[in-house]
This record gives sequence, C-alpha cells and structure tokens, in this order.
Amino acid sequence: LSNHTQHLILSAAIFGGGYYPSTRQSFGLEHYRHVVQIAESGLLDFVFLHDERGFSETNPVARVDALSVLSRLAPETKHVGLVVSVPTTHSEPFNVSRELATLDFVSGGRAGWNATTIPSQAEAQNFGRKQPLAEGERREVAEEFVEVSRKLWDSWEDDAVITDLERGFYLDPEKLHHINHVGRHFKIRGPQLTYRPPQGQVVVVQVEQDDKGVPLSPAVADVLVLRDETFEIAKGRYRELHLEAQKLGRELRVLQTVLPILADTEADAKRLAQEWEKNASQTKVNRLIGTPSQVADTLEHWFKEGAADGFHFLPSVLPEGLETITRGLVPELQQRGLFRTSYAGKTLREHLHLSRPLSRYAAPAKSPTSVSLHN
Amino acid sequence: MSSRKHLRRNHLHLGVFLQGVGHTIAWRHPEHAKFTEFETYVKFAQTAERGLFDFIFFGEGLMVREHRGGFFGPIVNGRPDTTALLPALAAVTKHVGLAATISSTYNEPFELARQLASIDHVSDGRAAWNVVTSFSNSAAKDSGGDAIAYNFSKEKHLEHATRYDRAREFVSLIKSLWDSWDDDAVTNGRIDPTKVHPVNHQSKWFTVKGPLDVPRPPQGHPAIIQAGQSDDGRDLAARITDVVFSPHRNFDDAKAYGDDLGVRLEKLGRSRDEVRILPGLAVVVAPTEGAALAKADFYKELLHTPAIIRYLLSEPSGHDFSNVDLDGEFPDVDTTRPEVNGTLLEKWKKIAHEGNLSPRQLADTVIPRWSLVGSPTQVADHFQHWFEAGASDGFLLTPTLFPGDLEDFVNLVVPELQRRGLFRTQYTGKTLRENLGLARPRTPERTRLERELAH
Repeated sequence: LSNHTQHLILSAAIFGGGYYPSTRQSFGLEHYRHVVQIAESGLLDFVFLHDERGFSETNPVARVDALSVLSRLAPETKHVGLVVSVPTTHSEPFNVSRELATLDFVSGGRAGWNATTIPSQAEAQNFGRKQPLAEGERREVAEEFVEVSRKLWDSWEDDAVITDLERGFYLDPEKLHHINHVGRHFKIRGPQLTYRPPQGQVVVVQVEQDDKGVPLSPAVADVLVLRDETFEIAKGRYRELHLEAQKLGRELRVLQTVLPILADTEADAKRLAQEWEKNASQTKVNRLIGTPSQVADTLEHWFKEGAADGFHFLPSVLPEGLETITRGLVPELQQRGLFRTSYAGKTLREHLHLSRPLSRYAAPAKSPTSVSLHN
Repeated sequence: MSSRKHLRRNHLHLGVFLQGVGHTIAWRHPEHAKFTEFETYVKFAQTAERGLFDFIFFGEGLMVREHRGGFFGPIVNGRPDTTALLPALAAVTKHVGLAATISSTYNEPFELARQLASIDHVSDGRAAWNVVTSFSNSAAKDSGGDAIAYNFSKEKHLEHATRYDRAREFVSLIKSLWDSWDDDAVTNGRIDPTKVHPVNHQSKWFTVKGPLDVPRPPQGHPAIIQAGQSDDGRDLAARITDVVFSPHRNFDDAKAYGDDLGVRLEKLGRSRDEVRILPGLAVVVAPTEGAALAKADFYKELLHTPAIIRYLLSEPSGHDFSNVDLDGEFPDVDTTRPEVNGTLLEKWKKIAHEGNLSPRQLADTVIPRWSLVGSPTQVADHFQHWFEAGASDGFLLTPTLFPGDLEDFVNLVVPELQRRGLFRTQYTGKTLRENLGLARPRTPERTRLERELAH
C-alpha cells in the first residue's frame, strides 16, 4: 500500500511537563507559548493539547481550558495546526461546534479537534452524575456529537454572506440551512450561529487511549493517532483502516505515537532513558532511543513500508524534549527528503493534504445566470 | 442621593459593544468593516484600547432568527463564539477588558466556570461575563424562545421566572467553583492539595462535586455584568453583579433605576459603590453638530429601506407587515390574535392614530437608533451631566458604524472627557476589576482566616 502523503506528518503532544514531567506544574501561558513556538520553528503539522474536566486528589493537576490556550496563541503563530481535546460526554454540540469553528476562524484555518470521552469519576461528578457512563454509551455519544458538529459546520454555505448592496441582502437566505438532526442522543435544528469555518470542517483528530470510549473509526476521524508497539501490528492496522476509509469514501491520515529519547550518542540516549524510566509510572509507549539518525531510520522504515503516514511525538520532558526533536530529528528527516523544509500550506488541512469538504447542503453548481437569489 | 464627590470614583467608565447580529444598516455603509474577518475584531479591540475603554463587549443569541418562514437576508447574522474569540483578542491587546455574553440557561456550570477562569488566566485578569438567561422578544414561532430550545435537544424554552431561578443558582455555583482553589494553592509551579476544596453542591438544578481543575482566576472572579430590568432581573443584578448594563435613555429613568438598585443592594448587605451602572448609548459624533446631524441622517437613509422597515415592524409585533402600504394609513390590525404581541400593537396603533402616522413614520418614532448626536462638547456635556448627577457611572457605547463611530468617539470625545478630568489618561490598573475600581473578591477561606486572626 502506498503512502497517502508525500511527506511525513509530524505532530507533538504539549500537555503539561511532557511524558516524564518533573514535580513542577507547567500549566501557564508562558510555558505553552514557548512550546508552541518550538513546534512551529520545527515546521510540525500540529500541536495537540490534551484536556479533561475534573480534579483528582491523588494526581493533582492544574489546567487552563485547552481551547482558551490555543485561541490565545493563535494570533502569535502563523502556521502550526492547533488541535485541542474537547470532551463530548457532558457538553452541547451546538456550543462546542461553535467554539471550534471560532478557533478555526481566529487561527485562519488551523483548528483540529480530538472528540474525547474518559472514564473519569471526577468528571462525571462535576456534571450531575455519580459514575461515568459505560464505555459503549460514551463512544456512541461521541460519534453522534461529531456527526452533528460536521452538519452544523456545513449549515452555512461558504458564500452565505454576500453583502449585495443593490438588492439589500447581507446574506443569501438560501445558503443557510436547518440541519434538523434527530439522533439517539441529540435533536438539533440549527443552523449554526457562526459562518462556515475557514477549513469548511474542523479537522477531527482522534487519539487512541486505553479506554475504548473514544471512537477511532475513519467514519468519525480525519486523522487517527494510534499507539501500536510493533511494526507488524501497525502495518496491519494501517492497511485495514485505509481500506475502511476507502470504502466509506473518506480521506484518512494514520499517525503512530512515539516517544523519542535522543542524544548525540546511543549510549547517552540509553542512559537518559534508564534514568527517566526509574520514576515513570505511566502506561506503555513506543520509545525510540538513540541518535537522531538511528531514530530517523526507524521512522523512515515505518513510513516507507506503509505502517504510518506520520508520527505523533510524546516529548520526554517539555520544553527540552521537544527541542531535541525539532533541532535534532527534524533536520535529519529533512535531509532524507522525508519532511517539509518550509510550510507550503496555510491551513491544517493543507498541511495534511486533506481536501476542504463542500457543504453537504450546497446545491450542485449552477451557471451564474440561474442563481436562485436572482429569480 | 449623595453627590458624586462622596463616591470614591473620580472618573467615568466606558465599555463598547460591537454591534453585529440583528444589525440592519452597518453592513450597508460603504466604510463598514467586514464581520466575517478576524481582523475586524482585532481592530475593534485595539481601537477601544487606544481610547482607554474599560472593556469591550460582545452579544450572544442562541439561534439564527427567522422571519416569515425563512432566513432573512437584509440584516446581519452570524458571529464568532465569544468564549473562543476573547482569548485571541487578549493576544492583541494589553489592558482592555474582555466581556462575553453567555447564557445561564444553555450551559453547564462546571464547563463555563473553567472557560471564564481560563479566559481570565490567559488575559491576565481581564475577563468579564454578561449573564443572560436567553430571552427572545420575538413573537414569531420560528424566533421565539422555543426555537432556541430546538438547538439544545429540548422542546420548550424555560419560563422567565424559572430561568432566573436557575440563573441565581448557576452564578452562585460558578463563583464557588472559582473559589475552590485558594489564591496560594499553586506556588512556584507546585500544587498544595490541601488548598483545593470540593464544592459539593447539590440542589434542584445542579449536582457538582468540584473542585474546579483550573486555579483561581487572577481577578478572583471575572467581573459579572447583567442587564436585568424586570423585577427578577433587578433582583439578580443586586445579588450578583459588578456592572449593570441598563437601557435607559431618559435621565430620570436612569436615576430612578440607580436609586432602586441601591436600595436592593443595601437590603443584601452590598453598597451602591460596589456596582457600576452603564446605560447603553449610541453616540454619533462629528467635529461640529451639523456634521453629526448629517451623519445621523445618512444612517437613517441607510436604515429605511422598505424591507428593513417591514422587518422592524413585523419582528417584535408578530404581525406581518410585508404587504402593508408603508406610506398609507397604519393598518387596523387585530391585536387579540395569539401569535401577536397585542400590547405592543395597541401602543403603536394609538401612537399612529394620535399623530396621524403612516407605518413608515411610526417606524421612525418607535425605533430610535441614535440616542446622542452632536459635537464633542455636546456629547461630553451629556456624559458629564449624567455622571455628576449620579444617573450613571459611565456608558456602554453601541456604535452604529464600525470602525468609524468608535474611532470618532476615541479621537474626538475621549480627549474632551480627559480635559474635563472625567476620564483616565492612562490605564492605572492591571486587571479589569482594578480599572473599574472594584475590589477583588476574597475566597471564603481567606475571609475565615482573617476573621480568626481578628479575634
């Protein structure tokens, strides 16, 4: 199976202090500004900011709403995609889809969305529930949530605002649409309150986790971030998912999650890895330990042999771990012709070579003389 | 009432509202900025900041209004979501406050508490929230309250009193969530979990355990704005607000409103000094009175297309004016039909009959748009009079044309107000509360400790 992009797609998780965070909390704006700027200097496709809804006494974390952080940083950046997790279990699609459309608006088309669900009791108890909903239920809600959001993004056609002074029409009433969605979990009339997002639809980036409440189907996602441990498993899933996407008539990008531990020599990298692992308590992840050239060998192999369209980096420690990626690994991949040397596109969709969807409500193109407005 | 000198404030406060949705003329002006471009919002925020405004302000309406069974072309519709827009505007400004209008009826308190706290964090203490309960004054079925409910998987909009009941609890719960982290719960990047407290809220409307997962906002609480006019609304304002956006155009009404609010505040153990009352005001200013009047005339000309007059008459009344002769006699409409606002139509019929007005002339009378037209001196006189006589603490401007009207105000009126010592010449506070001269709310924990120390 040939690759779906010419270049690797590269992204990075930027929550908190990284995969091996120090005891210090890094939730402040300065921290995120610094990290996002590093990512953009490394020409990454996107950064991903994880978010949850709830405070755990056993693992206390200070957060700032991820969408607010990325919206705040949008005017300070130009190119890098801004992917945010917004949970779907306790929110209204009519509100969330509008917030995401606006993140796309203020960033000139760089917004992405991880539609999450988590089995968190703390979260459930902040929204009137005693226990989290069952896995299957949460997944079903998330799927319908994304479906409704896509409809709402389509509910204003691209050229709905016409400012036709001669006829006195600010908008073309034919180009706004009720979505009249009626599903198991949501019943929503629409249209959305805001214009169509610059990307048409915000890019849906689904990130795999232990819990199966997160929908990972190509029917839901434009980008899937998986975390397979072996090349063989990754290659198998890559093939299956792309076939499924093809059947659905949808474009798809599949990324594999990796944790690079980089140093100038292999021995140094191994030493670093050992040191960090002593204190690590987190779940398994595909660690790539070595020099930039060694790690690039692995990435090149996975990419060229059809196991991934790109990679999602979990930096070891932020911000330093991301810097070793952008300053060490990225140039190595560029030299091999595997990664861009400057941003070519403006929007996240353009970076990912995903086409901009037409509104599902748009009438088939007519000749200019028969535009309905002038009848 | 006490004279202004007894109050600790020596200058007035200004907010500015970006007119958008529902706007009937701005987009038709050749110089109006495009609402569909982010740059317009940037320019709005930066112009307000250049004029040293306390805050900028955005509205919300949770449905696209319809008219006679379809979407309506001649007026502005569509606007970005404010919670997602304000952080981006914080990036392009340093001082100006950032106020969002958000419904207490169609949001979850935990979600909104963390959004507002976060906007306050990423703007270093400049966030404000205008609490609304999502009201629709439209009598039309497709634009009434239920049409909002249809966007939220519901069949019926809550009744007025129920919405206010929910709002009271909603705001109080959100304030508790903001207080669930002590001010010093995070020091040098380390959390002290003993300084983070659950709220354990359980009542008719909400069951929320807490604590919030966002540290206490820089302002303690983002400033609360409210525009309540009904008895319920005034009561809510007295309980929760820092800033009141009032609709009064008449001096006596404004003064009476301020006095009434003062009484309500005192009953609740608060003082009139803890609230800023800012009446909404559309100012049209030019270097001379003549030029200002000419500008207002031009606006009126832009407004009065037949389609817009028909809309402005039909929308609030529920009566279909689409086939009425605008220059003929005002129609003898049946005001008892269930789909119309009978009280309003009766009032209009009476005005039209007494003044022998055509529908077009009636529209001129009942739909006032520009409440203050004049030279910089005249505008400043008005501001000074209201402020010094205690009818308002400042104004919330609702410019008709952007950027023109706001730029004219900043260039012509602000220097005049400064010359008279009525307005700041630079920002003195860091946060919005500081610029408004409002205290930073203490956490209940802090209040308890201080009480213990005092005894």
